[in-house]
Amino acid sequence: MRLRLSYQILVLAVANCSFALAASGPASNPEQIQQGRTLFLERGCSHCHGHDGTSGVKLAGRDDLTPDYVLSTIKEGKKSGGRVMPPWGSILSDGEIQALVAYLMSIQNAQNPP
Amino acid sequence: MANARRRIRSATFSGLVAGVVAMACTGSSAQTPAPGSEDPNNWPLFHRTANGWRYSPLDQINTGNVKHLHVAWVHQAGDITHGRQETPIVIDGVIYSTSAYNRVMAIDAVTGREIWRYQPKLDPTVNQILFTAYSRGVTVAFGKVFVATLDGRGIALDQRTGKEVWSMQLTDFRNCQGCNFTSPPVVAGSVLTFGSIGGDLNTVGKIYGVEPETGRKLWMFNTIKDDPKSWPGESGKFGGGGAWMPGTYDAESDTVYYGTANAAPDYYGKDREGDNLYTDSVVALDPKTGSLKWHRQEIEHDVWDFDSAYEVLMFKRNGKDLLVHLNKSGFVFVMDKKDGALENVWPLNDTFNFAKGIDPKTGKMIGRVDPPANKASLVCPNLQGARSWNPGAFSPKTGLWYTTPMDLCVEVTPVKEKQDPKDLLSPAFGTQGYRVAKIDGRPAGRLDARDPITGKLKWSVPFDVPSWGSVLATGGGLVFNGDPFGTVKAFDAEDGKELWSFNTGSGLRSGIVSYRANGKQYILVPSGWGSWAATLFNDTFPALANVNAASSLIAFTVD
Repeated sequence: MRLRLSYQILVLAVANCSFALAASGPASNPEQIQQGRTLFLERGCSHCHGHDGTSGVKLAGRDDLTPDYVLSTIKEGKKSGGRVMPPWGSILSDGEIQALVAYLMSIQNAQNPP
Repeated sequence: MANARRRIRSATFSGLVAGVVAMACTGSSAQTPAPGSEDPNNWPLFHRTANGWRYSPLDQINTGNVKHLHVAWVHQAGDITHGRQETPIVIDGVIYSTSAYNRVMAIDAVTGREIWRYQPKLDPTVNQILFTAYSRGVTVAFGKVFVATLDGRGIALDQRTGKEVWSMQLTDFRNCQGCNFTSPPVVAGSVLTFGSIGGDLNTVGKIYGVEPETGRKLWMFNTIKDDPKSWPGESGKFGGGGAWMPGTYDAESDTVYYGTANAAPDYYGKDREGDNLYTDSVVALDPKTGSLKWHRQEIEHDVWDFDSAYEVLMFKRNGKDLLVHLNKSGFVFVMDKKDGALENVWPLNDTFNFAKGIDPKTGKMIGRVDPPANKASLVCPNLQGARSWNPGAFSPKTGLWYTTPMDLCVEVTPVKEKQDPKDLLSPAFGTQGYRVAKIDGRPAGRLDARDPITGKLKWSVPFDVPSWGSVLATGGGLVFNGDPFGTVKAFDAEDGKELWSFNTGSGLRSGIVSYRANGKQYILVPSGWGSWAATLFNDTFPALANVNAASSLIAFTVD
């Protein structure tokens, strides 16, 4: 009985850990961040957000962005006041969107973005 | 409302007559009774009269009483996406207005009450393209209201009821990176002409001639010349071009003039080493056939995003029929309307660095400086040009052209990008991002009053932040213009003194017009901040980020 309970606690702990990773973003994966950076430039995100996220509609160095928010905004688009960001959900793959999230989360409160 | 419906009538005849009579007047522009004064109560065309002047001869509101100008009514369109960028049309007491996603409204010009409303069902792809949500206006003629849509169609509505009469797909919208229309069509005799977006897209921009009664496509002019010397290899397939602002129709010569957009990719020209005709050009077309009468390319092999899309003004000066046309580079080309022969070229700004200059006799660029690939460099003027698309206005009373230049540069890094017209969200900018930069010691923006032929400056009012709003000049001696924070101002046309201002609550990116209804003159101001100016300049002018969007029409009058 105790072993099974321990096993259940362990599964729960692992599940929570995975959930925590998804919510906070894969910030520790440099390859994914680099992929996101490349996509950011190649897909024209830089046209509205600057080549390092610091101009136009600023993305770098903010305190309010969360991985879930960034992910849903990229996928679904956003209207803010009169401004429009188009939805990328049907254009980018899930992997590409995750890479963008990783990159964008890596430049929060960063002085020297990659 | 029944009275308003009865007032609705076709504008075609009055608008065309105004244009023809305006051109028949002779003499210098400052001395004789003003051409373009016909049909004074109305604003029946995009620039009011066919000569492109944006001048209202009404003088009930004037320098003496403008301080008493007050709100008569406000109309709200509802959807504030990309604000309000239109120039409304006003005919016999009815305003024909457009707002986000091609909504069209007929509004009583005295009360501001809606008479009818129309909303097309747009292709949902309009939410995924670059140039979306906004339109600069509608066209009223032949008993119809014509709409050029965000999904590349022309639509005709019954002028009295707003009911759809016909709808015709003109562009290959889904396969041309969302090439569409963001400006109204032009009545060119018995033909309606539509100019499509193209310049910042991996596409081939076109001008269309359409039959007004049925929407049938009569002809198509390709702004990308079929010439391997002009467009080597495959570069012509993604040449950009198009003509995204309304053209100018001259009834006297039965010619429609359009300014074409830039070559694509904007800043990266390595794969299109040719002159890239007919981008960055004024083209003169036969409206019946779409055939090219003549062209003048203002910027050869453009690698700075210097569209020629802006307004074409017409003047008679010393017995000559001249066109005056501002290219985004800031150089103003003065040409003979019959063949494009150059009369003069003069610069709106002196801070350009893309070349040493442009020869005023030949129109050729001197000492061009192409931004190097894969390196950051500063280009002046910036990506929106020495002035954005917001038209200026000419007053025949003062002989002055009033326009709002900006003195800003942009850092670009030209790069080769993939070119896929089906990839809707990867346009052909050809640069890795932008960074707009102010110029030390220069006001970022101005309102200039200049001779349109020589460029001689009469007066200038500096702005800390450029104006992105169009200018209105009136017979009351006034010049109206608004700023991105929402303040609309009246200036004395003679000396630029500010005589009145009002905070509309959201930025001006639209055309201010004037009309008379029931004996009263009104100044009509579309207010609502939007467009690419609302995104690209926020780091240069941080206060812009706090401007709220809106979509309002505000009518002002005096008692």
